[in-house]
Order: sequence, then structure tokens, then C-alpha cells
Amino acid sequence: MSDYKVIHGTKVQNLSSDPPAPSTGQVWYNTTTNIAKYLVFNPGTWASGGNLNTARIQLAGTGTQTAALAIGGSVSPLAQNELYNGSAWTELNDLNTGRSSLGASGTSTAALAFGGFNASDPQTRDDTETWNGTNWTEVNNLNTERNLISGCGTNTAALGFGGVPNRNETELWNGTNWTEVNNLNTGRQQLAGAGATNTASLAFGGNTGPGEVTELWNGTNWTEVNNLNTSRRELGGSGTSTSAVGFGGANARVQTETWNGTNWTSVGDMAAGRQDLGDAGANTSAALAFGGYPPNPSNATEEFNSGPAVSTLGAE
Amino acid sequence: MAKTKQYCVAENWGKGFIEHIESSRITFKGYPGNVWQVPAHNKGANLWINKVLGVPKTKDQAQVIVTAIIDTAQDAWDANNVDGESSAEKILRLGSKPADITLEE
Repeated sequence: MSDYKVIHGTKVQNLSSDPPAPSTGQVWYNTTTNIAKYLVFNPGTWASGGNLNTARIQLAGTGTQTAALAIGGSVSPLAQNELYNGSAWTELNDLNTGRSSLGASGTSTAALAFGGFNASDPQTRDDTETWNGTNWTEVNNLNTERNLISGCGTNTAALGFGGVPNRNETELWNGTNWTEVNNLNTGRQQLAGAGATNTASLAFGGNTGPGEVTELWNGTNWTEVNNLNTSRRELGGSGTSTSAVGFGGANARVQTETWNGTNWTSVGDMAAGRQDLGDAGANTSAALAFGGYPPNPSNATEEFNSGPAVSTLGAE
Repeated sequence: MAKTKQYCVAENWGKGFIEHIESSRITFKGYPGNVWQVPAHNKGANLWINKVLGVPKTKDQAQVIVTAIIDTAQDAWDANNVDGESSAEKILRLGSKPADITLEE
């Protein structure tokens, strides 16, 4: 058996505490804890998060992995609103108009909810509401009512696109009004979106055609870019137009992919497959999946992380 | 042929139920009825089952649990109808009808 010094030319460092900024591949022995550690690059894994208070499907999500909103969904009165703080969900004030299959954008303290469907009417919605961290307020409606819509951006600069029935319409929110802009190349519903602004966004997946189509929005037009590796609809998505995560989907998919601005890469699967789920996250480093089904509405949350991670030598 | 999977029943309590370090080393598959599939003959998987107080099940026992949940959900889906609603509209309202699940050996 070879040893570390023969391979690397140096001995393993003995350190009284973990180094503050180790490099990938660095190995050290912590003399305080008597544990050998190393830094690896984690391409992406999922861990359990705190459970939703209300299990539901067809809900919307927005925010980050440690400050996310779960909005609306399939369980009466379809208006529930919960805040995730990185470990637990707390119920907050409800939407004014209950609905499922809606779109959302923004942060946990400044969000936008739009479109959707209320099965009890039954009626497709064009309603838009803005969230200030405490209450939802009704604002101007979408021009085209629709459900199973996707969206991204902030609550003053959002983009809404797609929806039932296989819509290609895209609308841009400027903080006051929705304006129709150029359409998706591929009209679809049950798609996912990512984007920090309404000038740089990503639309991917959905029920039309092979279900793997990805389009990039530059503030004026949608352009087709490289496809998802796994075709799917009813998936979750989060991040930005250059750093996104796509996960889950119809037929209880567990597959997860990360987008680097050019290509999708398959990474670690979710622990439990689901579709029609909620989603949040800022980039490929951290995402959040919550709710969904099958067979019954789920309250489970999973946290996705990728990037450098400290591991312990000798652990099974 | 030696089995490659093992099953247990364990309730997902939320944060900490599955850690990143565990999912980087073990392939988890969650099924209805709190049924979890992890690799057989795997020290990490056995430690996880102990951590979550998982109740070991044979594949056949796990299949019975999963099938019962799916059957109930399928019956509920079939019974949930709205006058005048098309099958496509029903799928949009409820999602797809839950599909049968067959566990692996």
C-alpha cells in the first residue's frame, strides 16, 4: 500500500483547527478532534429539510434555500403561505385569492404571485398579488389568465411565461403592470423557470414535444439553447439564467440537473420522486424542493447543495 | 442472486432525516407509506436505518405497504369527478392518476 507522502510529495498537515479556506483535494489531520479530513467537490446531493405544515401539490415557491415561501396549492382554501428559514416552515398570512398551479417570483420578503386555478369555481386566474413580508396585496392582473404558468425575477421586475393550454405568451412585470412581450418559441405548460431578473431568464421542461426544451430570455427574445438530459414536465426549477437547478417531474422523477449557462449536467437524485412541487433557490449551490406528489400530497422538503464540502477520511 | 436492496419503514421527521453526507454515500429511494429503499450489505445504510429507527421489511412486505397506499390513492382519484370535466381537465386539477409501483429486489 502506498502512502500519502509518496503520492503527493508532502505529509498530511497536522492542524489544531480546520483550515478556514481549504482547496479542493486538500487533506489535513485535525489534532484537536483527532479526525483526518479533506475537501471534495460535491456535484450535488439532496438532504432532508423541515416538513411543510400543510402538505399540498401544485404550489408555487420563491426565495432561497434558507428564506423561501411556499404559496397556494391544492389544499383548501388554496391560499396557504409558509416561510422556510432553513430548518422549519412557519405559517404566514394567506393569499387574498386562493389558487393552485400559480407562478411566483421574488424573495421571502418581497414576492409576487400570479395566475393559477381554483378548482372550486372552477376558474383560471389572472390575479396578481404582491407580498411585503407581512401581507399580500392585490395589484394589476396578467393580460392572459392561465394556470400551470412559470415565472421568475423579483416583485418589481418579473417574467411570467407559458401555461395552460400550451401557451407561449410571455409577460413582463415592471412593478405596476404586466406587458406582453415576445413569445416562447415552444408554447407549453407545466414548465419550470429560473432567473434573478426579468431580463435574463431560463424556461425549461414542460409538456410539449419531448419535454426537454430549454429557452433563454435576454430581455427581448427567447432563444433555444441546449436541452435537459431528462425530458419531463411538472418539474421544479430555481436559480438564474446561468446557474440553475431542475429537479423532479411527472412519473415521480428523482432526477436532478444543474445548468451552467451552456449545458445541463445530471447530478445526485432526490430521495423521493415527485411532481407538481414547490421550488426555490438562488443558484446551483443551493436549492429547495417542497410539497408535490404522488400518490398523496407531500409535506416533505429536500435541500440541494453542491460545491466544496469537507469530508472525513475513514467514514463509511 | 444476493439481494442488492433492503427496505425499512421510517417516518421522515424533516431536517436531519437524510444528511448530505449520507446521500453522497448511499442511494436512497423513498416510496409511499414511509417505505425507504437503501443498498443491502452496506454499513452506511445500516447505520442510517438505525439512526432513523427504521423498521426492516422484506421486499414483499414493503410492496404490500406501497401497493395499499397506491390502491387507495387510485380509488380516490377515480372517485373525484366534476360534472362536465374532461379527462385532460381532471389531470390538470388533480395531477395524473397515481401509477402502480413495483419495488426492486
